[in-house]
Amino acid sequence: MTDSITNQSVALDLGEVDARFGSIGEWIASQGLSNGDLMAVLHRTQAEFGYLDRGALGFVARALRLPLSRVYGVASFYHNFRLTPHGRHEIIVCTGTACHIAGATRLLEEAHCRAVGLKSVTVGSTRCLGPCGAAPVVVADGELLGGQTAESVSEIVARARHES
Amino acid sequence: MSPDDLDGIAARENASRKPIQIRCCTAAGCLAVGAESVRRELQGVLEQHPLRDQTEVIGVGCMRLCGFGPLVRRDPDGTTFAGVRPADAPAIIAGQGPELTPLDMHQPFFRNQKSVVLANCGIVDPERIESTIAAGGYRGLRDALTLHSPAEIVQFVTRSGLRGRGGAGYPTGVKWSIVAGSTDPNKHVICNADEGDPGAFKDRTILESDPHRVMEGMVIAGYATGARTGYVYVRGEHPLVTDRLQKAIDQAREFGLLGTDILGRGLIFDIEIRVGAGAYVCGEETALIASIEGGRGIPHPRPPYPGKVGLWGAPTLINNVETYANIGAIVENGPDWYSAIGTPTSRGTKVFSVAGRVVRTGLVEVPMGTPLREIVEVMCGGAPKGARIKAVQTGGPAGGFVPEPLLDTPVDYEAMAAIGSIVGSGGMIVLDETTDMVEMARFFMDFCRDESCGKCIPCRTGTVQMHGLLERIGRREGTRADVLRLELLADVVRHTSLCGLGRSAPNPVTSSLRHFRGDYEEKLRGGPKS
Repeated sequence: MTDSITNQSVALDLGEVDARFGSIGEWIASQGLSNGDLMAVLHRTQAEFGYLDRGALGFVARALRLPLSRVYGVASFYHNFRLTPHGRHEIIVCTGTACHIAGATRLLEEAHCRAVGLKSVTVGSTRCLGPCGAAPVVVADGELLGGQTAESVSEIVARARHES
Repeated sequence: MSPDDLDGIAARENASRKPIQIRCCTAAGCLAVGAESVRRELQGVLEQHPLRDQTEVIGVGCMRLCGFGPLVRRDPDGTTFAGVRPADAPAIIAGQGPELTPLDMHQPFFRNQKSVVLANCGIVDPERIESTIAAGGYRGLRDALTLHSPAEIVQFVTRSGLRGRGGAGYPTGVKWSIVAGSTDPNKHVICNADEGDPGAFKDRTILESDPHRVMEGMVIAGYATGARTGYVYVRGEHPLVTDRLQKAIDQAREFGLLGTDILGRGLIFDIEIRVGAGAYVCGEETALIASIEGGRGIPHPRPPYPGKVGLWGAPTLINNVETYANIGAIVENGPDWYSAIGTPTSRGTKVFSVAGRVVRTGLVEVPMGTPLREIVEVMCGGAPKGARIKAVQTGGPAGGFVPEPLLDTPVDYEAMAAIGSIVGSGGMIVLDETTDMVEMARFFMDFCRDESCGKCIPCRTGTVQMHGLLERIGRREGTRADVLRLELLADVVRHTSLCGLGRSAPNPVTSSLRHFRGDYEEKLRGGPKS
């Protein structure tokens, strides 16, 4: 395949783009990734930088020899890729069916309400996470918490705000 | 490793077991309510305990009663404790304590299950391949490679009557023979683990609890069809699945159960994980393939089906997690054993995840043809606090509502379709008498509106319009004409959308209108008679 990349091409592109993506470039080269691995590269880049800004998307496009439009198209298609920065703390309310029935809408409202104006706390929602026996479920900074109430969610936001 | 080495590994593993095993559930349902701290405490207390030489703590997968976690079982007697707190650790290790009440393991929830796919869930340690092998893992693969030709395996799958467990119920053997029949040297096997239906968690649980069973099915598929590469497409929302599956793949490579000389028989097959990023439509097979290729998850019209033109244009076998999880047992026990379970058109068992307004939330594996009432009322205990069940929602946003009077319907593909729902991927949501069906229909339409990929117009705009109408009716501002518009739109979207997402998006609307028209009428402006 002509799209597979070499160490040389990554090094060249790095010079033109941004030194902060050096480690990602090395990883792409070491794994021998090609344009079919776009999703994996976006996951990795987001994991490292928290979100995908214009510079990051441009770097990925060059490294995988894809048009920027294609990379942007993929990054904006999927819910889990973020194009804007998030707060240091992330609180995600599950809105799957079991959680919906158990009052997830109210939890989400409560979390949004408590986090208004807080730059360090980002509130979001997600489709079903699967632990439906523990509904309603919230993920606070990566930790899965079951059996949540409006009070417990407001406490989570307060704690996050305190730690910031 | 040679085929006989499997027995050696199993023997060594069984010999190294301590007499008392404390199995602690570490699937996501129990982790969400503190199972990890329970396990740590059990481990910590055991180190100082007089019974430490005879006892071990094992992290295992799902024990099924997910609503009562964290669950811990003390073997060999199988005493199981629910809602365990870290403070219970000393009593559990000692096997007695005043505040410990074991679960009744003879209650219908456990007694009425028929385990094929879940046989090792809650028993084996999903992070150690030796544990799986000791429980009989990879015996189906060994039998396939040593006793049967690839063509015989395809015959087995066909004769077993197994149908796709992802929702559509397409005969699995037909798919296998199409791919096996292709002369293209480059073929692929894909496992669809993009379990996106909200409220469904059986694929996630199978992969978290017993990943090797699914991988074994994929390797057998590779042998039968001549494919050399396998992909598991996992939802980005299930990081625990990705972690455990990667560990399982690494260990299988190390043990010669994946790679270039599987079981010393020269079979070449390897598996890679592809992680999704939050797009429900990727559960549709052509969208999933587009996503693996690194593109947006947008479906293509079929035909050509993936069996002819799939991943990178090559013939591709794509099946659901649970479908692959059945394969090893079918090879090991024979197709006649499998087809003796279930009904004439729907063979075998089916795993359901039951949640919502129900006493016992959890995972249920039953023979196909079991009445819905048996599952939700007898096994799962019906609605809590003595409330009446209003309906059971099956099949997620693509499915429908089964009203209480129809709960005696058996779960088989044809019987469910006849009452306007589907078996689907296996999610069952129990709704009690307080449920507003217009609001539930709106909830699912909101989901479909958000998840529509936007490629075809009926789905992209139809879901938005239907959602708007449902909102208006919900606000009591709707008229009789709005209900007519809703029905018309549902019909158009169903018949003209490109893929399964759009074609089934109207189901919650049509089935709620069919069975619960009163909920709509009561909300119409000026009352039911306007």
